[in-house]
Amino acid sequence: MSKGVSIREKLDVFHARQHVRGLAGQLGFGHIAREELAIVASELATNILKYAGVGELEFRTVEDPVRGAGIVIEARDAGPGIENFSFAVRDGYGGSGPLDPAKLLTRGGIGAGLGAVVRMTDALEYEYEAGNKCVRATRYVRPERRDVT
Amino acid sequence: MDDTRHDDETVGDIANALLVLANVGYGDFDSRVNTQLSTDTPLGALLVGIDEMLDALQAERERSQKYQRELEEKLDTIARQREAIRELSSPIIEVWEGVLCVPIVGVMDSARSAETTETVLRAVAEKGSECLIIDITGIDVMDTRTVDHFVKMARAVRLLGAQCVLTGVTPSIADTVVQMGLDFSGIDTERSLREGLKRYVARASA
Repeated sequence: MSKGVSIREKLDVFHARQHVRGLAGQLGFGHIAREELAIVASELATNILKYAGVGELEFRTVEDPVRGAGIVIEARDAGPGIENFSFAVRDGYGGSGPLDPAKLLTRGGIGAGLGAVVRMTDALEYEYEAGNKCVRATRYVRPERRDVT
Repeated sequence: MDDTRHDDETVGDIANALLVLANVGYGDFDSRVNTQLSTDTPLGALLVGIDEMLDALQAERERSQKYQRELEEKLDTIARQREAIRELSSPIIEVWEGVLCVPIVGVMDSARSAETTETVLRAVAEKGSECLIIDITGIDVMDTRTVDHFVKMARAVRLLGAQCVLTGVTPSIADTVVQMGLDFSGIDTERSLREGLKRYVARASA
């Protein structure tokens, strides 16, 4: 089961959130986990708007033999790739290194979007191939999460 | 004999027409009298007239049902958009002279927290407010970093010479704050927006 939500404007970020909330509810995620997934969808969709302009969020359900049911959120766009993904997931960092704290606000964020995604999901992968960028976040219903601070 | 048969047929036609009308009474607009009589006879004209009236009624009903569906869809869209507007923006309300209030509903992600900071700081500076109340009753989950950012925003508000009050902190957010060991010193908190308003409006009007 999968569904794509195209991301073109700010209202689509809201649609993506509504969709993931519904899906998470069906899978048996609790209220807090559902709101966390809404934040994850929000951050991924906002990044599409910010760096690529347009793209798509795809939601899939997965069934892992050990971890049980889960949701995969794939954010795809054809924008510029992330220079260094391990930098980008660090708070206060961009894809090419530390962000200037004085300029954080003017870039429309606090430099912690992907960091929040890492904290609120069980797995985060990044792929870049032939101009197509894909950020894939997975969260399982069972709370067997690593703690990242 | 002919006359009797004719009477039977007439009674049958009338009974048929009554059945059709009864169906209409129950909301079924599909059945018709479908009489064999010619419209030259008074009864034939009446029965054909009933069928024509039912056709018109059915068409009208379908149209009004379609309108109703469309209206419901529109109302649904409006409700969704209203929710979206609430979730995507944080209005800043001057509830009293010198007291600003920002109710935040929905999801607080990193982009929104940056936006909120910007608009809040600008509003406090422009209006020269003495107090800013941020109500987060409508927020259940915040990323640790976003909470941290909120604390920094509250400090910035203080730098501008205003008091920053956080109201409606939910248990899960309180937990996040404590787990992170965030320093909340210098930031007032009140249990609810009501408490916050009571205290600061009283202070502002004193």
